[in-house]
Amino acid sequence: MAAASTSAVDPAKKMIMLTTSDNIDIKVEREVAERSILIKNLLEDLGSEGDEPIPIPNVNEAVMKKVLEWCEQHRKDPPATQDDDSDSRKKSTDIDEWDQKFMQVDQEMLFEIILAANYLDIKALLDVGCKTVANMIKGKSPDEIRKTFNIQNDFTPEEEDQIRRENEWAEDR
Amino acid sequence: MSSVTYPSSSLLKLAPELLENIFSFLNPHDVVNFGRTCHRANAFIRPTNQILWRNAFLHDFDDPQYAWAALLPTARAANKHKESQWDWYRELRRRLLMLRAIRDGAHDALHPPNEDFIETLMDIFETAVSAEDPDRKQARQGTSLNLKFLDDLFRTIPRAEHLIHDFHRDIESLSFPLEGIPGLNRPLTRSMVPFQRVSETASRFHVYYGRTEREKSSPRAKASARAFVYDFSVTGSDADHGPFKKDKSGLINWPVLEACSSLMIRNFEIARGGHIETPTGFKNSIPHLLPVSPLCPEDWAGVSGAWLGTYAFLDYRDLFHYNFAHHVGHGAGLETYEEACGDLMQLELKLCEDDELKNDPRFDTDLPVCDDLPMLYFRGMSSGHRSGRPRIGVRGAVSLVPGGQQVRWRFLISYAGADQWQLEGVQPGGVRSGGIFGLWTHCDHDENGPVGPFCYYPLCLCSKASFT
Repeated sequence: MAAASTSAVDPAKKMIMLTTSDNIDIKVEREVAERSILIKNLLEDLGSEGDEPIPIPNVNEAVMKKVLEWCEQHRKDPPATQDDDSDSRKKSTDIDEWDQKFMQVDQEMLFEIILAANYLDIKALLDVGCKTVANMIKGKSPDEIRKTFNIQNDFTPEEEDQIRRENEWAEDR
Repeated sequence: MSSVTYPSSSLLKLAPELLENIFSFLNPHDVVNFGRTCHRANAFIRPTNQILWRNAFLHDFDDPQYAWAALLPTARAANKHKESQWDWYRELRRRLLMLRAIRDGAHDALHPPNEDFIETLMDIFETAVSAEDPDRKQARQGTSLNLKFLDDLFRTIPRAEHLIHDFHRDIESLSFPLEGIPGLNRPLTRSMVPFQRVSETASRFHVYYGRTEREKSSPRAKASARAFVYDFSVTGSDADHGPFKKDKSGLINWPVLEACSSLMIRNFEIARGGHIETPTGFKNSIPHLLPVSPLCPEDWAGVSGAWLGTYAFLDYRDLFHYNFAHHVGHGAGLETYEEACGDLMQLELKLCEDDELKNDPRFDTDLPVCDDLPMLYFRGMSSGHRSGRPRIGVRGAVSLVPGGQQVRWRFLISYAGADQWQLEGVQPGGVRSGGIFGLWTHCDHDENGPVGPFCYYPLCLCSKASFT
């Protein structure tokens, strides 16, 4: 990754250093890292130098590399507009093909990516992660959801029956 | 609470806002299935989690904020209570319970009574995003979730139409008198049973819904609607001879308006040619359906332009006979009277703010209006649409019905050097929506003068290519 830096004049191509929670330094192009609003704001606050490594205390190396892989792929995406934030419309769980493949990871990594995207403030990645989890819940029975996420049923049979009846109104059409 | 411990990177350990984000992509059914997995999940979906239930609600329905924001000040003030009491969980549950009950046919037993469902359906209709507001993404995409929900409901559950106008011989159907109506062993349509007390909301909903399948084929439904509109006592000077309550309130008499629209939708279909559509139904009954003309921003009602409509009448001898020989109020015999339908008429109207119109005593009214928007005056011509009828002069005024949600129209038709007809109508969908329905009378309102229904639709909604 480090060898890719050829231009000293283009600030987008400038390399910056991130230090992960497990104390690993990762070199990355500024433009890629700036998919993270947190990093973008930090870089702006620190001035344009960016020579100091930026500590990312909540994300370990394995997750950070995965997140940066996504940022690299989506480096040219237009920035999220305020308009896209509008939640007053039906949200689609469609995910593009590359992202789908990217999200084929074990569940622990999936939730780590979501936590990292949330911490690093990468809205588009957070949405892809949340959609992936949503698709794992979609259309499943309570029992299937338990199996998928390793959730232990701690209801008594009476409780279970009562909760089923309370929620009958939302049963599928 | 649960004693189970989950690893830090697992679904149940996610912060509430992340879980809420995940569930914003899922429908209410998925939300409750998750809630049924364990105590922790069940605590997350509690009704007080308004963020979660708002997202679930928005998965199926339009955000009501948009429709509320579009209300005029008087209507908005009247809506404040509903807004302050709004609970996303309760409203979603109410709507989906209604859907389940209708789908399961539970309304046949009237448990709970039809009127609750009608109120809920009306709520869904009234909080639909309206069509042409540039600020509204959903509207631009032409996808109001509420209108889609209503369309799907009535398309996929044909018996749902019964809800609009059925009475049952059920002992619990309070509004239905079993005495005096012989040989009934099947449900009656609402409009088959004239002069019965039904909720105003039910009549309103029928007006917005448009024609039902049964109305299309039922002579009795037609007869009972006629029994309203051809009754001399149905309107009068206290109601400006229009479809208003006869108490000088200026409020709409919804059952009368329902009868006018029920009859005139069918009459318009007879009068119109194949190149014309009848723009009825929910999508044609929402406010701000048509844009304000940039050339005439003060024309809030969308007066200027072309309108298509027609009128119907009984032979005067039949009208007189009905009113004096059959005045028992159940419309007996009216299916046999020949009702005539006028030609398809086209109005060309233009706003006109001259003093002569403003001071015209023909526009005087004792009925209150809502002054959120100013009264507008207009002039124009009426002629046959693609027929050789001579052009005749029209003038009129438009104002808001008290409450500010519907628009009131008065047309005066003059020829042979004198004012002839007064058309007193209501546009039930509101400002710049679809059709106007009402009653025509002679301008001088002689006792026992002729009366009948009329309708006008904006021409641009009538052509088959547009607004589909």
